[in-house]
Parts: sequence; structure tokens; C-alpha cells
Amino acid sequence: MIMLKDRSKSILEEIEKRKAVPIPRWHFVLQRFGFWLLAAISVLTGSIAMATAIYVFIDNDFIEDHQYIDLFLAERPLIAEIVASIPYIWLATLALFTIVAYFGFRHTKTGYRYATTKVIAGALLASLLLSAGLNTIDVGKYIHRYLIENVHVYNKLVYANEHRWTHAEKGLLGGKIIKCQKDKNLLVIKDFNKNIWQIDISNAEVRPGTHLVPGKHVKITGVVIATKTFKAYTIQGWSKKYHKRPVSVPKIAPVKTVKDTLVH
Amino acid sequence: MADTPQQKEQQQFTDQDLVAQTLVNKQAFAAIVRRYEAPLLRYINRLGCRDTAAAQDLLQEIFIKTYVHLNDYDHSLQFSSWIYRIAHNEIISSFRKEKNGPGVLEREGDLFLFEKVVDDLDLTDQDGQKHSSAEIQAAVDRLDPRSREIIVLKFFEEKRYEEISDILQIPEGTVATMINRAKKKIKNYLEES
Repeated sequence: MIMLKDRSKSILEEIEKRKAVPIPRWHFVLQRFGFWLLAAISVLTGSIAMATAIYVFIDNDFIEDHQYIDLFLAERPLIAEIVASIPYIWLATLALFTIVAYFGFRHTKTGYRYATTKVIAGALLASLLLSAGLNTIDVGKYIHRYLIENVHVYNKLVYANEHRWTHAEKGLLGGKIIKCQKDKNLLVIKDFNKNIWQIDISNAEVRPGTHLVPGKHVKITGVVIATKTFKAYTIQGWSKKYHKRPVSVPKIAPVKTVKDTLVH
Repeated sequence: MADTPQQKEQQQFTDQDLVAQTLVNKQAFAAIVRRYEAPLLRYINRLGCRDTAAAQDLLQEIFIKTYVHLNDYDHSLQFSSWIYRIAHNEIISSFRKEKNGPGVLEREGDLFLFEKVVDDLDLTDQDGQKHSSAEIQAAVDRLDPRSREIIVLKFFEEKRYEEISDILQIPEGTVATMINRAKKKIKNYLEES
């Protein structure tokens, strides 16, 4: 037991005995920088998740082009369709990284002085602002499109507009243009299930601003006329909903009913 | 009567001065130890460390940890808040290691401090009489460790909200909420008894 009166001496002796030395300042500076970096990276990742969530939700056709999918929606009420279209996986990712950002910030020098609600709200606001910036350069779109075309599991985790346009039997077909032979009235596309379709565009109404060039994504209404062969009624580009298109309301395309489709 | 060299040292240098001197010459750390050994030992006891030898060992560990982490001291904080933070973390960690909760507050020297709690809470029993220090002591002993910590810091260590916030590393608003919650618990315990 150490006696009170010579404690300072005995503590200095103990320090000597243990060969204890003050940890260098750079160690603590690095540690704090690490936590700031963790918080910043988490906010950035959260903003990417939010940008993708916003893109996936806004891309849904029930927001603008409901005429095209009225029949499709008849099978499920609009509210159920909207609820199903919420990109939960991206919102969960955003929530996870917001918590990590909070953890990082909480461990900075004065992070503990701020209320949890304020820090979480700040992180979410920062993610929202950054996501708006990221979506001006289509970050959300590229991430979503890459995942939907290359990661099979992702298809099961989101209910995106691409799924709505993967119902050729209901007259809705979407995908990437592989080949375009206007002289033969033929378009070849790869749908989101990686099936190759021959599209007859001889009687198709092409919406203004739609570029039929390889690499572009399109939405086609029409009818299946043979195996992996589709007759197009309308063709429109897969444009961004948040970049307002010129107002040009096309005629409502006749969409084949399930019953009609079965005849083929 | 003339001041001793140690008394002069206590008056002459601020905590920040002593930290700066220690980083140049570790012998200066002795002055920090002399300045904080009594308050920290009291704090260890008040948080419920019953064993005197264990309290002394804990105090030694707190000072060694303080010395090793001196470069982490943020000069915008009061040094006392920073060293209390180290002490608090060491004490809680030692309770966890020993799987031993805090003991009862039984220091006679602290009895007058219980009166402060009585005055602050304006507590009276059914006959309109003020509750005794012993009754308050029993109620404080029944508090959960977190509530007890905050009562000890506020009423026994006489720390301000800002200091408690820096010691426990929680927002000031949370400190206020926790103090109010602990006070309510004390009132409830007193009503039950």
C-alpha cells in the first residue's frame, strides 16, 4: 500500500520502474483524424445510398407515366405499388452509415458535447445535400443500373422501375439497345433479365428526344409476337425524372391484356 | 508563517503550466500528484470503492495513466475535468473487472454533503420535517451506478454541469436530465421508506 505523504515520489518511481513515457502527440492527432475520417466517409457513403434511393424511387413510372401502366397497376393498388417501390435496402444502408458517422463523430475531441438527435439529424442533412449534388452527375443511376444488371441478389432486394418493364407478356419491355437497324425496322435489346429481344419497330411511335442508338436504355410498349420477338407500339428513352422532360404527352398506347397475350 | 516550497508551487503554477513542465521534466508531475491526490482519493471512495488498499492502487493507476496520456490533454478543457474523466473511466473499469458494484457511501466526513442534497431537493417527510442525512444516504445508496455517479459529481464533488459533461463525456442537456431523474428516484425512495 502506498502511504499518502510520499505518493508523488512513489508514483514517479513506479513510472520509472514501468519505463512509462507520455504517448507522442501525433498518436492522438492521428486517432482523432481517424474518427473524423470515419465520420466523413460514412456521411459520403450514406449520401451515395440516399442518391441511389432517390433515383430508384423517382424513376418509378407511377409518378409521371401512369397512363402506360394503368393496366399493370390494376393488379395491385397504387398505394401498395408505392410502398413496394420504396428502396428499403438503400434506406437501411443510409441508416447504417448514419450510425457509423455518429459513432465516428462521437469519438472526436468534442463530439460528446452534441446531442445524439442533433448529430444524427446533421449527418442525414449532410447526406441529403451531398446526394442532391451526386444525382446531378447521375451517381445514383449508375450505381443502381450497374447493380441491377450485374448483381443477381440486388434484383431481389429492390422493386425498381426496371422490374415493371420486364413484363413483355403484359406489353411492357425495357432494356439496353444492342443493335439498331432502322432500314430493317429492327431493334435488338437486352432486357434486365439478360434476354435478347428482336423488336419490330415498323409501326412504333418514337417519343421525341428518344435516341435509338446502342448503349441507350429504352422502354417499349407493344405485344409479344413470337419467342423473344416483340412488336413495338411506342418507344421512349429511359430519361431522368428529376430532369424535367419537355412536355409532350403521347397517345396512350394500346397495352395488351394478359388474356390477349396468351393467344400468342 | 512563510509558505513551504510545496505550498508556493501549488499557488504559483496553473495546471496547464504543470502539464507543460512535466512534458519537459517528469519530476514536475509530482506537483500534479500532490494537487490532485486528495480530491481523487475522495472521488474514488465516493464512487463506492470500499477497500482502502484497492483505492490506493486505483489512485496510482489513475496518475500513471494521466502521465502516459498527457499529450492527449486538450487545453480548452479544465485539467481537473480531464483528470476526473480518466479517474472515472478507471474506477468504472475496475468495478467491471472485479464484477463488483459500488459499495455504500459511508464516509462520515461526507455527512454534511448529504444535507446539501436535502436542501437542494427541499425534502420533507410526512410530518413536514426535513429528511435526515442518514435517510438521504440510504436513498443514494439504492441508486443505480449511473445516477449515483451524477449525484456524486453534482453534490459531493460540486462540479458544474459543463464540468460533469466533460468528465462523463455526455451533452450538458443529458447531464441535466440525468440529475433530475436521479433526484426523482431519491424522492421516490424516500417516500417508500
